[in-house]
Amino acid sequence: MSHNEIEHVERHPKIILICDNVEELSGVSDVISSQITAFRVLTKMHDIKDVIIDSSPHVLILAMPSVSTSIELYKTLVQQGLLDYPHENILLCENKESGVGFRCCMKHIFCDYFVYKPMYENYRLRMILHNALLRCENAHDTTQIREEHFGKIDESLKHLIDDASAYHLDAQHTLSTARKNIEQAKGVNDIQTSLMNELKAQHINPLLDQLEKKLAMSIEELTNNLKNKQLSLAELSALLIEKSLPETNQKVTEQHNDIGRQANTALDKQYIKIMVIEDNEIYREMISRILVNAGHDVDAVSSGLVAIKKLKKQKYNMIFMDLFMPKLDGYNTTRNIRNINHCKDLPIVALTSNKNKDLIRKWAALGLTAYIAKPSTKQSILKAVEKAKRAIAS
Amino acid sequence: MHNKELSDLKTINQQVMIDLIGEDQAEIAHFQQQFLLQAKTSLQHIAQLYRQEQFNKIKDEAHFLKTSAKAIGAELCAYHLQTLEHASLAQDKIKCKHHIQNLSNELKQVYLSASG
Repeated sequence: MSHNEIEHVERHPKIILICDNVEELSGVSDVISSQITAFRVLTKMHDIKDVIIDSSPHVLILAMPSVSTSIELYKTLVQQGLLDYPHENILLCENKESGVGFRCCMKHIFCDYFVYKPMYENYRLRMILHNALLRCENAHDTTQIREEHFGKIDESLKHLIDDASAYHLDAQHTLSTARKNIEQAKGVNDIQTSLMNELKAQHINPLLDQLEKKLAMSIEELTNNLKNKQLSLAELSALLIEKSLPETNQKVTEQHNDIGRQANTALDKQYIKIMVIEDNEIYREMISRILVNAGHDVDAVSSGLVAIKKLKKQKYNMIFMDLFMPKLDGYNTTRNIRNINHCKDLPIVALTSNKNKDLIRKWAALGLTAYIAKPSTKQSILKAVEKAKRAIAS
Repeated sequence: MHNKELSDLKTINQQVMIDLIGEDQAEIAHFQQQFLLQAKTSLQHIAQLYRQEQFNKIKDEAHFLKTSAKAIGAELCAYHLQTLEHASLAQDKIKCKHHIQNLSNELKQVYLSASG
């Protein structure tokens, strides 16, 4: 490791400089570090990944030996889902490639470019960094405000759902007490008691039954409406997160089009990364063991919400998912997953014992690779993995 | 359970777990024990929900436990859970009580079968 690399080892950098040759960029590194202390120079892929996962740096400066290798590296990071957050990317290139750098920025592969070789303009670089950091900080503030805002609304909706449930129980209790009181009420003589019993049987009890039924239906409707609002909110939040991602993420993949290579890389590997989403811990453990014993890298989670959070941060090759889960079922989890940029074609295998064909058909319309009836067999599960591998390849 | 008659269902059908996780007896015993622990908690929860007449939640809990019952090959348990699901969906308190009692008895049989 060179002298310059040792100097810039900030643990949570806001700016990272990714390069092959640290010595060659010592002047540029000094300019950046004089502008901001939260800065780090990185040369090794595993260090780059670790720092991005830990710190989500606002600005990435790519200074590989050529523009094409810088694009290739940036594209790899995007495809691995490491850059799904607001950030700016800046290309550092040699003067002989300045035309290519300019065209890359025009096509929104990079936010800006800077020529550092054979000479560089100190204050021009400072200006680029200043603007990039400013734009990024604004984007981060917006994201934070939005998350807080949605979090508060979500919390309020949860309270309303709980309140509706508590109100239902309370009203049921009141009705039940009223029934008991009416049952116990007696007239001053047999004739009056008989008349009261007749009145109870013909009018009061049917009225209470109807009231109870209507109350239950209204509360159920209200709760369902609130749950739908909660879901719409989650979907809107996911959509806004996707929209807030830099355009460079999408453009780098489009412009440097070799998506097939990624699929082939996954297929070439005998073992793939699989997520298992199942709320029943026993069945979840069984499925995970089958997959782990077959050599796959398995991540098992108990709910759709946890799965969505993980999928936004990491890439998987396929998913096994249960249909009936509390809070967010398989169908709605799949809908949310399909809204994540890198999960639109992710193979999903449904695990269900449900015989409701309409529901399964509706779910299948979101793009299911296979359907497995619980409890299933090891052979069927591993066959589904093979099917998913073929789906990735095609 | 799809094509089987009630009389064909077993307290524990060993073949289900063999097909699913293989023949490792220690592993099979581990999952059976896990199921009994899960079922105990789940049955207590179902009883509480029954007292509160929360039929929708009884249905969810029965469905949850049915997954692991099927996975360990507790076919009769899975059957009683399925019937409990139907009764709770229909909000039929009397049938629910009957199925909960059947389930409780069947879980004792699973315990005896797994211990023996």
